[in-house]
Amino acid sequence: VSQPPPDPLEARLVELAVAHLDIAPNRLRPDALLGEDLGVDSLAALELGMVLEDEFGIELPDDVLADVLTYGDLVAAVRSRVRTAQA
Amino acid sequence: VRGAVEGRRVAITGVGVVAPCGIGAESFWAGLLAEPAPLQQRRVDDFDPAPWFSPKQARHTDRFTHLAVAAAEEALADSGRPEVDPVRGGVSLGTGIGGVGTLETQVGVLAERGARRVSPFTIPMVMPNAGAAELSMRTGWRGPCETITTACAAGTHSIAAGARLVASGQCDAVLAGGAESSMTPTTLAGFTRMTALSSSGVSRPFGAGRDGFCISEGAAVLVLEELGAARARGARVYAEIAGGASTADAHHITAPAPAGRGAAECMRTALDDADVAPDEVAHVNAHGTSTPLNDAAEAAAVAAVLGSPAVTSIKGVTGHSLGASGAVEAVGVALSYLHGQLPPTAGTAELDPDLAAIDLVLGGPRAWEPGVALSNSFGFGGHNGTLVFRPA
Repeated sequence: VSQPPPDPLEARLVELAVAHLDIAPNRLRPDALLGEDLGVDSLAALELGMVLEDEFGIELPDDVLADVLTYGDLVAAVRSRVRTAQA
Repeated sequence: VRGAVEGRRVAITGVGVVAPCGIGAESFWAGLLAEPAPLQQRRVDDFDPAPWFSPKQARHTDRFTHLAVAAAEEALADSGRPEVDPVRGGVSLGTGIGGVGTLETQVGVLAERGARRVSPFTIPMVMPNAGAAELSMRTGWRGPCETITTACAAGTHSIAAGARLVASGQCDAVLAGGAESSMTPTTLAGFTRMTALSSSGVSRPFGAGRDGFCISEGAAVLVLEELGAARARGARVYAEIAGGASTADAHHITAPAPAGRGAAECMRTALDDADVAPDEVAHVNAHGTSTPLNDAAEAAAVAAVLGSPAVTSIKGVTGHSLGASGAVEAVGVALSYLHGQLPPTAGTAELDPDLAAIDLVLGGPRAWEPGVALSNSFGFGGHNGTLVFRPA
């Protein structure tokens, strides 16, 4: 089964998540819960948010991060913020 | 130990140490018997937290905690890992300044990049109790888990407190010690500005021309258990902790009380706690920082209180690791029992003739028939600590 190639934003996100969360890339599925499935506690999520802000030149306010439950939510939040920043 | 439940005695069953002269008890001991290079700042250069921390865990904990975990894991392995009811296992880990390295980094982040870039891990990395907390999480021990911060007396006070937890019957096993890694630009400048550091880079305890201490980092942890239980499970017992004391000078924030009054009072109190007579003391592992005032006060106190014990300060080799130093020196004492030898006061050629006459171990290791030993620590703030050891 051939997978569609990930877009550059998502590819970079995977790299950063792997580096900062000690997580194998194949665990970063859209429905993976950050806490339960990936072992990311609230402080680590805040730290990752900080890294993503720097990397993508965006702002991820704490109330936005608070709504991020899954890895898919995180990708969506970053994508939406990047679009807003570029608009 | 005063307040001990009848029959309960405190055994040292495991030791672990990370110091500039050696990582692990074996290389540490070899380091104590070797000639140290002159160096004002003595770091544990080849320390890597990787055996105990994933990269993520390592980023989220300060170096003082890394050193503490390495020492504790060695001590536990050395002890043969006592099986403990988790609520009767304790941690008593002191530090002088805790995670000040992390604080200094984050102060820089705040200044350069603003508050939103300060790490959310700042507080749990900086807090002085972070090392103790990490040890409780790793062992699963849920009894008392506390941190004493009495500057350079913290390691000794923490071991005394841990011994009391065992003696009183509150705990069956305790990880007790100290950890320090605080050689940041700001703390180094602060110590330099108060002219506490040696400008020659030679740590010369009790020697003429001593010019301050050589600052260092490190950690040391003892496994303390009830003596009878330790013997019953066949554990190796290095020595018994027979007592200890904690007193205050109530005099000055940094200078010791005149004529070693505080040190003398502390040693007397410790001997009383251990029910040991002054002339029974065969060995003193001194605080011996190589500062003019400390060593004069401590020599005066030893001469006034005790008979003629063999005195050594291992700070000629280790330098002064502040809140870890008392624990590092307690490991030195435990290993002196093991090897039947007292390490020399490296860096010192002869006793400063202006000091009270004490029998300083000089030149090379001295054989000894293990007897009662004291270990002293004195901290800024006028905090005094003494531990009393006895062959088990």
